Amino acid sequence: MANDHGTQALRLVDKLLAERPDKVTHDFSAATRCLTAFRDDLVEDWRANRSEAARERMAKANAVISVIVGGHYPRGDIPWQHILEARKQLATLV
Amino acid sequence: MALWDLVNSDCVVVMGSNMAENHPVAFRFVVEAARRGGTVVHVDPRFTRTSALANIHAPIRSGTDIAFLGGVIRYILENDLWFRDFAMAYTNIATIIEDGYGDAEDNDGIFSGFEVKNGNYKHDTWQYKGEVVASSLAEHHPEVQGNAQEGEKEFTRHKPPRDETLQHPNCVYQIMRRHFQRYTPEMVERVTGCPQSVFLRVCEALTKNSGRERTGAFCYAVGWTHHSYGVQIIRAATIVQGLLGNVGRPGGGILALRGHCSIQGSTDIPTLFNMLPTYLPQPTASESHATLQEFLHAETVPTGWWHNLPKYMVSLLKAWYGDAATQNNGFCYEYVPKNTGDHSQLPMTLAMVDGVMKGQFILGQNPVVGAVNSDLVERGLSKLDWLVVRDFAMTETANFWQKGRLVQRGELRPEDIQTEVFYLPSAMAAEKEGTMTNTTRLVQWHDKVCDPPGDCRSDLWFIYHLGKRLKQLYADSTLPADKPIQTLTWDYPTSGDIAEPDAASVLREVNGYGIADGEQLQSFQQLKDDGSTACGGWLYTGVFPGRHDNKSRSRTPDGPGGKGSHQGWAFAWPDNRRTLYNRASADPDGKPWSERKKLVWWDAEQGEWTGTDTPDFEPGKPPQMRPDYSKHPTGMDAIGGDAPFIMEADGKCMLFVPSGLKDGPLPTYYEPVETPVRNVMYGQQSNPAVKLWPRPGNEIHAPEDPDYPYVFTTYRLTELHCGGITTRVMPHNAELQPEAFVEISPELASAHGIANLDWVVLSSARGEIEVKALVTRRMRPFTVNGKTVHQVGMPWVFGWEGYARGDIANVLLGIFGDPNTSIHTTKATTCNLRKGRLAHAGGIGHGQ
Repeated sequence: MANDHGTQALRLVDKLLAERPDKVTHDFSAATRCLTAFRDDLVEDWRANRSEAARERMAKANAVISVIVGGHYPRGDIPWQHILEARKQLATLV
Repeated sequence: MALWDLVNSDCVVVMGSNMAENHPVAFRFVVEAARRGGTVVHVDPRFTRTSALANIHAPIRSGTDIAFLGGVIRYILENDLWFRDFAMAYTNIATIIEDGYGDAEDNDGIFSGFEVKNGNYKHDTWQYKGEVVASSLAEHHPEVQGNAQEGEKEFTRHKPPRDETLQHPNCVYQIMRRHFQRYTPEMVERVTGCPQSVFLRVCEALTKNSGRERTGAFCYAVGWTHHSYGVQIIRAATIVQGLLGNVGRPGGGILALRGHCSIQGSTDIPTLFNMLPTYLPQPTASESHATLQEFLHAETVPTGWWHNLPKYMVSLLKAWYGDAATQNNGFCYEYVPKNTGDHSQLPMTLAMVDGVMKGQFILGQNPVVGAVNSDLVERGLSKLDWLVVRDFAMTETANFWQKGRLVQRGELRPEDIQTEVFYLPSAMAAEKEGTMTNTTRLVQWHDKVCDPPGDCRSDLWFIYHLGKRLKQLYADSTLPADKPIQTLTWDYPTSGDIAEPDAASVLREVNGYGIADGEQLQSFQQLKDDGSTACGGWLYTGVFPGRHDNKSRSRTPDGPGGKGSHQGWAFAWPDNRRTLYNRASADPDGKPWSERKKLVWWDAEQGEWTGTDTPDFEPGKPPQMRPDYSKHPTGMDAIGGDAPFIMEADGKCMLFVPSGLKDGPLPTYYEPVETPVRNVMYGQQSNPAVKLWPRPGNEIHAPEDPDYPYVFTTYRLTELHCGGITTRVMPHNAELQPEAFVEISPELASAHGIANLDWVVLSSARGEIEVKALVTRRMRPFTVNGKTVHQVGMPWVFGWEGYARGDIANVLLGIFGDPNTSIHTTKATTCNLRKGRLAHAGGIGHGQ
């Protein structure tokens, strides 16, 4: 399940990066919802195993969400370079 | 300006506030100004008690304030009624702007630098010619190509370019004349609906009461701020006051009326996402803020008072991280969270709906009633894992899962909502000690009168003990991510059975102290950037200058014949200065503009500034001092003795703002995002830089939508305060305002066959509510561009809890934000109405 949500989130972030919309669109919400579902799966995993690896995956997913949400609600231009870095991080988790 | 300084005003304009009903204590000073012969003006869509006590009531359609104020600016300029000696010396009216500057006048409502693709402005063409102007706001640096900091250093090399003859086509004076040319009295009437004759009476009142001998003031509240261009409304007033010389002088100024308990304090020691205490910038995740050194390099401006930023930042880090903060580790700067985007309330409400947040603390707030788009707020709350609400009576936010609108409509079922709600009882104001900072930046201590009952605790108790438990929880962690909590100093003394933290100790830390001797600091001028001082908020330094000397406790007013600044009454930041920029109360040579309006002046014999207020200026800097540009002066050395506006890069009042604003250097009239009319001034309909977040559940309609033909505004009541619960649970208050209502003009009521006390359904693109009709002549239709436009108004203070109940007005409002502040729009939107009830039975608000 975790990888389903993660894969879907990666696909949606890739779509955002490919299209790079100038204005914030609802696509960001779709990506965020998948990412938070992915994080929920990782939380479940961590609660079940309490392993260091599970905790690290959870923390990294949280960092990715911070960047994507910052792109959804930017303070100026959308930080595409940061989103690209976050995408790389996400890819390591999926 | 100080609240009580209003008595020195010869003209008080209340605009964006129903001051008599919502700020009755403050309004006493307006009444006294009138008693002394001053003219009182109320500019407002409704005729209220404020209007009844004013000499002039100027009715305007909600949201058209910039058209009105723009008309005042044009009147001042075209009739040459500005205070020339003041404005030429102290404002940037003669400064020359870049050749590439394009005004909104030239491009149908849009300035140069606008990027259509993303709705953002670049600021290159707004700058002073050949220079880059650092902003005095927390976000100091403008959006310009290339190296902004290099351009900012030009201020250390020479004076900004000026044309004292005011003939240069790109000097600010000429730009303003062109910009406001179309804001004629005729246009003001077409847009605002205010008759020209009334508008001109206001112009005359303002201009006749300004100059060397007379001053005027503006008072505003959220009727100015809660718009998609709220910052620019206030900007328009600053231009009026800068031109008329009503800044830094007795009876002159723009008074921000604070309507919530300690709302000024929560901006100072902030709950705002983008600022650290007392207006320091919150670091961001950008590369230039990676280390303290990089942060300070990027954020420290070359000239003006903000050049002192490193002293304030390092002292703050020392207050937070204590001995652990050293020069070698960048004073633990890495522990400070870094922003990744706009984390203000509106976008975070939407992010909550997307499941980003797992939990939320709600203290002193009731967002189901007070935030916009109430249904979407409920949806967000239903996505949380946990919710902590602290209040002294049950709120709609705490029981949304049981009685909420979505539950009532059957869209959510309590058993399906996974949010675990912790409702914790809190102490009331008289059951705890501490400070409140409100209007006038006045920090006032209040004592505890009695213990709170049962398990009720102060917010300070809750936050302190939560912090203690978090530190305990992470005490043994070896993870780097937990270091900030482990390192944070959290050692306030407690007393009594419940271990109540000592609020005075918190204020002592906010004031600041020396690291070596632990002695309290007297002034922020003692702060250092070497780690030898600690300070929780530099602007508050001086509030607690001795271990047992709490200035906020002081209650010594001036007697009759006294100075009138009442400096013994509590403490006003900064440095107990009651009137900001009060160097402007003297002419460039340091002499008062007039005997009647003297406040601060240069004492040549003593070689210092003196007066009836603490000078908001370097005490020993003579009026004749000029920067020695051969030495590339920085900080205050670059600000001359004739430049009162010390927070600005050039010490001048900015009539034209080259940096710091996201939607234009001059206020420009746009229609609200939702409006029943087209913008008759420009082709550009609404603020081009507005923050829109369209999504299902937050629909926004196009202009002139026949489904929503009426202007809708909200306000509060004398009897019921803000989110309402604190007063709705009081029987005597509830008896005075027992249920929700909407105010409708007789003309609109007649058109719909509505009689007084009939049920009415109000609808917007977000939802529907039902309330009783109050048919009253306080509301009136407006003629806008030849068309009749009706306006209705409703108090936003009701909900389903307490004795006084009613549907929630903010259900109707959409989530979109001012580009500068992300503040919501509550004062000018649209609705429809019909006689009758909601289709679904048992409307939640009316107590059935």
